[in-house]
Amino acid sequence: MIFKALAPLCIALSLVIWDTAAYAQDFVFVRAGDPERAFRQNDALVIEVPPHISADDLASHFLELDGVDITQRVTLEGARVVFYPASPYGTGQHVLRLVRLGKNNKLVEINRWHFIVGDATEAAAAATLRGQMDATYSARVFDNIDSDLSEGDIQNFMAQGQLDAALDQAGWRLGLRGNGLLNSEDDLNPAGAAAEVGEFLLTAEKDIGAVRTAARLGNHDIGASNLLIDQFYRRGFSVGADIAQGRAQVTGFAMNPAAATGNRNMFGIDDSGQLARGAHMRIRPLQSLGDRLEIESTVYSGKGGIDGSGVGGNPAISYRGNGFQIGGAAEILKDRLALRTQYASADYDGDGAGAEPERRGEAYGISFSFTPFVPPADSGTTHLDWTIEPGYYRAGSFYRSMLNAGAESDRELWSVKSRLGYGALTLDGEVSWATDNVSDNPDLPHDRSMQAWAQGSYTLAPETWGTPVLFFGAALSDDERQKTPAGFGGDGLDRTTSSLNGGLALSFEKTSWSFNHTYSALNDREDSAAEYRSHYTDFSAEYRFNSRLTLRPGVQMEFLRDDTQGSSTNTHGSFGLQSEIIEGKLWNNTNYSMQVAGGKSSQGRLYNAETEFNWVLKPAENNSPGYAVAFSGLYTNNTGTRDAFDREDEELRLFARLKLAAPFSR
Amino acid sequence: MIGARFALLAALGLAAMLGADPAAAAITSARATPGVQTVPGDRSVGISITYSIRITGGAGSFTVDADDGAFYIGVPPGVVAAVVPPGLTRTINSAVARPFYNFTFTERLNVPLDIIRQAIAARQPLYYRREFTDDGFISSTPVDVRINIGGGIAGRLTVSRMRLMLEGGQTVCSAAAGDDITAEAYIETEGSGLLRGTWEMRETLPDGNFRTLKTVQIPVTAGRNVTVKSPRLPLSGAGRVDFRFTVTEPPPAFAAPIVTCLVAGRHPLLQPDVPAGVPVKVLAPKSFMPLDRNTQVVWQPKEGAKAYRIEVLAEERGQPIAAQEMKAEDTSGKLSPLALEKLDPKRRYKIRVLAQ
Repeated sequence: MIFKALAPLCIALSLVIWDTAAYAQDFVFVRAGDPERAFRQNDALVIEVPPHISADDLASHFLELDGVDITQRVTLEGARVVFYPASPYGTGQHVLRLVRLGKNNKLVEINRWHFIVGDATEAAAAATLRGQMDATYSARVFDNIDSDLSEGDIQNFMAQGQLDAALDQAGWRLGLRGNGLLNSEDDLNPAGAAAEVGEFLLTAEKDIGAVRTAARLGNHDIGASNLLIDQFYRRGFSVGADIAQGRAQVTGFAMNPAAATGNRNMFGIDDSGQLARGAHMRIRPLQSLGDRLEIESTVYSGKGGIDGSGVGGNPAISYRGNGFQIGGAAEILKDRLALRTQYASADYDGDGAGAEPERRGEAYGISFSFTPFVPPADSGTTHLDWTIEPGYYRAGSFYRSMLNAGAESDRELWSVKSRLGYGALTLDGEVSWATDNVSDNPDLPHDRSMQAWAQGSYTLAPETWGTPVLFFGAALSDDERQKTPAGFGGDGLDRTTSSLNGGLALSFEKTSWSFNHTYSALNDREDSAAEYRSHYTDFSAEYRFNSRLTLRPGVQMEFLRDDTQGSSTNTHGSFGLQSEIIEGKLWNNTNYSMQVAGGKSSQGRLYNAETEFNWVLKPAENNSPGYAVAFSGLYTNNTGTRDAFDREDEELRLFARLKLAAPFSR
Repeated sequence: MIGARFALLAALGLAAMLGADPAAAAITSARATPGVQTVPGDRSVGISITYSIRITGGAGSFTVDADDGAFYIGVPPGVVAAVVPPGLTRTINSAVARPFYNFTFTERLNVPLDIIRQAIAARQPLYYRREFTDDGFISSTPVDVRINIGGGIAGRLTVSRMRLMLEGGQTVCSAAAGDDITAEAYIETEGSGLLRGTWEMRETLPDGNFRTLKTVQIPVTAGRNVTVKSPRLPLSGAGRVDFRFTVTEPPPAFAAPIVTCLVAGRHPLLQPDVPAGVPVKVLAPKSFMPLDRNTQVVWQPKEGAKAYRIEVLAEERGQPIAAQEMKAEDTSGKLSPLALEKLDPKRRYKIRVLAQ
């Protein structure tokens, strides 16, 4: 199976080598002065421009240093782009990005370089260490809670730390960032330990000729997004090589398939029963055709639970799975027509123990992106920016991947998406046709869903009172049973869901207002779902009286009528206040939240008020801790059936707190 | 079963110790919500069931309990496919005589794939039954939930899984006061209906109650996955902040997951924001207006400046979201695509210009 997946990659890799000595002609980041020493705080940044890039081409490139666009400040000196800093760089690691404005005005990263700046006295190596520690000791000085409080409930000590370190030596770039927590009450920390690691990442990078290698250990995402692996931010180890500035990228990984924090399975690879291993490869084989073709492939094999922190769902049980994926993306007509196609096959054992049979599922899809009107690069005039994306997606009934737990399965989906922008108008929409039971199980019905939605906004001219922005949208879904098997005992399916929404946002110098209303309804002609009619109104505002006082009121109101619970209302009001009462000394943060339910609502009433006064005795500076005393109050009142229990709680708690902030840097 | 009986005995013992005699009562009505639920035929699904039991009243101690739950292939009593422990029990003590008492139980039930497949093979609907009895064993009432099997398009709305994450997939993030942080709840659903929920946070103390930031309503259709974006999460001071998205309708069969931000650093008082230059007067834009690539930023030049930096701030006191440097001889400039890429069209920003 792995060889099946790797074969196209071997062919593509051959094309890379055959195509051209590509990397020699690409942008190269060179170090001014002695390349063996670390960057200094006033060194110029120099990038060599490859000969095939014309001045016109260069106009669509942008350079970003630590998130700041420095394009306007660079100078072209022969075949070199040079940036002279206006002020010294800070010590530590910096990132320089080269970005190109591509199709549909989308920004595409061409390259990214890291460098570390040492201070003026350093010669051969640069190292930085930055971090911050915040600690709070709280003592509950009053409460009206009718229970025996343990010492830990009355007094609490909590602390948190953040760390960011970098070292650049002998061609190696090493980095560490992470955070951790302390709490005198174990169970108040996310993973239940008194002292625990939150998330961290150790990185090591080294350039070997035209190959950039990198190893990562800790919480990270390997950067792949396809049918087999997506949003896979996990704790584990990966090692990768970037050959010829992105022409070929290969990454191998071993990661905990469950999202993890805390001290257990610290590195994500400590437990062989809870491990997913695999590789991802991406190749752009045709540089001479402007990198218009990209091929990717992924393989994996793993076992263990797939839930973890931040995940709620079915009880975590052991799984086992493996699979492979191959896909390609091509720009068929420059700036006008692009194509992406994918295929994935995965085996999946739902209990990992053989009690449920192992299943194999396949998923594949193809999508086009068509831009009928190519906008001028920088005309500054209003133009029609329209993209149409027809697509087809099919995932088998038993398609599951441990690396992409959210992938929709048992679906055949035809869709056309549209994104349109014209001056102050934006309008997005989609029409789709979906069916299930794609494996044609004769004992199950075939259902289909037709959906259409559109969402837009229009910004009125700036001189209009309040510079209004209008929001509007509608959606319609019609679901119907296409085929019912003989003897099927379930309900029928014939329903329509519709919704309409509209809103307005106003902005003034000191205030901003936002209002929107949504009406939605479900009509069920087979009585297989809860029919409803709903009105939802959201209002929020912000008053910035001055730099020391900000108010944020908000209200959401719901009116719901459904066929199981009858009519109900639910109103949520909130009010936030931030004020600097004595400049540089006394700060207050107050929040109030209220929920009131009426009619047949299963919700109760909930009032919550919090306020905290901070008196700063000494402001913190780097390597010099600051401290503050604070008084906090917390009042809550619950009445009703939240959590399905009739209850009436009224709590008032007052705290005296000592806060310490200790930033450090070297 | 044993657990339920033990709990019942414990409740009776406790009532006896408190001097309250178990009172005789009869169940007058019992129902489950939802009474009918459709699940897909290709995966294990979690559903949430609420039982409402009403018994005759009086004064004293009243207990209602239920045996272990059971899956039946076809209309019960038929073939028992599986038994689901533990039993359920609850006691109400009342010194005042009341005409009736309502008992509410919530059960988070996992419907395993192998049970679903047995029902498909038998071409029979699946049932889940709990048998409720009062403490005097005067009456016993079965309560059934019919589980139809279809594709993910049909049926009432259920929430089967949720992943809550901060930017980039983090569940414990490092942040600084004033940072612009949002979270996303990625929710997997089956069927159609109205999804309701609340974004909540707690910051005063780790054992403090969550307060609601905003309520949310989303019409969900045909079991499509839903992504719910949070409002901007207010990180006003240093400390630990927990966030969650609680689905209130339909009640999910799991507790709302929590993500955490460790907020440090630039507390407005503990460590004031140090701008990367000296602010100069911004001549345009003067009032609120949309930021796009035609937005012209004009500033008053400052003698001796080596360069200027245009910064787009999240809001008053916010950290820079985007920035671009301009030459010393410039007095105006348009926002670059790199800067605009970082802005959210639905949010408001403030522009400042710094001389370097």
